[in-house]
Parts: sequence; structure tokens; C-alpha cells
Amino acid sequence: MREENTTQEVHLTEEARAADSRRVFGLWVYLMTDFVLFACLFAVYAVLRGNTFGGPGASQIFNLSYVLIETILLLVSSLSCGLSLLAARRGLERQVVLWLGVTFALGASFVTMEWLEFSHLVGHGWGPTLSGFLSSYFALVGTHGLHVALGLLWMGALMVSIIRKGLSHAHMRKLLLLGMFWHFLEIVWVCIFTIVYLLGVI
Amino acid sequence: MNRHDYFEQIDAWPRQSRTYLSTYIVGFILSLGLSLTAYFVAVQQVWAHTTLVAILLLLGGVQFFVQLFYFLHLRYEAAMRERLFILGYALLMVLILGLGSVWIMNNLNNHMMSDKTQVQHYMNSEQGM
Repeated sequence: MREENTTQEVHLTEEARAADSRRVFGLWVYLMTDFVLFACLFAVYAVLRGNTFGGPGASQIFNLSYVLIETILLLVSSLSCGLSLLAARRGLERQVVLWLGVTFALGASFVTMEWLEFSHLVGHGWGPTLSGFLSSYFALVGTHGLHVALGLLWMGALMVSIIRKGLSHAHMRKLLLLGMFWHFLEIVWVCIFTIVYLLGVI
Repeated sequence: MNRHDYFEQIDAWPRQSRTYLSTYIVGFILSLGLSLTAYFVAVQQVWAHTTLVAILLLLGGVQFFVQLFYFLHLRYEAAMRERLFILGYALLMVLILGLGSVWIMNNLNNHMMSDKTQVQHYMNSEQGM
């Protein structure tokens, strides 16, 4: 494959290398605390999922095939995010932006589908105020959706920056951290898909 | 230092095994397979309820580690050991929070009422209120 080499090679001092390594570690610590935050929401959901207060239960309101499409969207976006990282290693700036764009589009579709699902539920009168089950459901899935939406903002800003300034060393680092965040969100979604949706409808 | 091993140099990706396109493809195919399997297991419902729950939790758990390995490139390497410790600690917290909450709240229900049938009756008539 042809190497574009639009920017100069990355030269790092040991100091800069250690600083970047610490940033990766720092993001990892953040991700793990975020994981515990999600665990609290999962625990609340697990305790309250039977408390429907006369409203619908999980098996009545969830459409599994709709959620499967959401799952696949997020999974493909995780793959394209990884492809963007692989392109960045080879200095292929246009491919980085292309794969980030694909990731952004898939992530935006996911958030849109989730938004439609929420408004569909609220439209039926099954809003978060109806029962303990729905409160905990909206809190858990909504928090994940908010994370994805913030990730999209981050991704959009990074794409604009790469297009305007070219793929720099700082961009490589930011791309890596964003990738870790994005893959983490996909992992949280696997837990939501399993515990909320699949276990909810059986 | 070259761009091509920057992620390895800053200890984000493993040094002992290189990360290639195939790493992501394998992770993607495994995850997709596990998700689809879980979906069809939940839709077909050929097994008893308890078996279904066990299978779905197992499939979800396997996919959790598949993605940690193939997408977040977590390995048992010197530079990543601290990250593994933090992951282990987070998993411990998750287990205590999740299983602990479910266990205690179920027990609480049992202790507040006299027996299981009464709890069931109460839950059915009051919809868990």
C-alpha cells in the first residue's frame, strides 16, 4: 500500500513518551471509574426492573430486532474507529478522516435510533416518571446515550482539527484516547444489550 | 521513533503481539457472532428460563472480554499490569454493587413479608409498589 506521508515522522523524547503513556493510563482510570458509575445504574435497574407500578414491563415495550440494529451499528462503528487508528499509524490522513467520518455517521445513527425509541416510549405515556422500572431504564440507557453523544462531539472536533491542520503527533494521541473511549462505550452497550434488553424480554 | 509504532511506544497497544487489521476483523466477527447468537437464543426461547439467563449472561461475559482483548488491546504485559489491576478492582466493585444490591434487596423483601408466596401475592397485586 502506498504511504502518503503528508506530515513529518513523529519524533518523541523519552519525556514526551512517558507523558503520553501517563495520559493513556489516566484515560484508563477514568474509563474504569465510569464503568463503576454504570455498575451503580445497572444495580438500580436490576433492583427496580420488576417495579412496574401497573405500567408495562420490559417484555411489553422492547423491540428486540430494533435494538439488534442499534447493536450492530455501534459494533461496526467500533470497527471503523479501529480502522482509523490503523490508518493513522501509516500516516494515511485521508483514510483517517474517512473512517472517522464513517464512525461518526454510525454513531449519529445510533443516537438517533435511541432518541426515536425514547420518544416512542414517552409518546405511549411510558415516560421515566411512570414507574421505578422505567426511571431506572431511562437513567441507564440515557446515560450511555449521553456518553455516545459526547463522544460524537469529541470526534467531530478532532475530525475538523485533522482536516485543518494535518495529522500531527497530538492528533495521533487524541485519536487513540478517543478510540479507547469509543471501544469502552461499545463494551458498556454489550452489557446493556444483554442485561436490559435480552434478559428483559425472555 | 516512527509513527508506525507510536501506540506501542506509549504502552497503549501491546509490544509483544503486533496489532493488525486482522486483530480488529477477528474481534468484530467474534463480537457480531456472539451478539447474533445471543439475539437468536433470546428470540427462539427453546430452553427453560434459568438456562436462558445463564446462556445470555455467559455470551455477554465472553463478548466483554473479547472486546477488551481485540479492541482495547489489553494483554498481560509489564506496561499494562497497572491497567489490569484497575480493571480487576473495577470488576470487583461491579460484582459487589450488582450482585450485592440484588441479593440484599431480594432478602429485604423476604424479611419484610413472612414468606415467598405472600411476597409474590403482594408484588402481583401491588405491581411492586
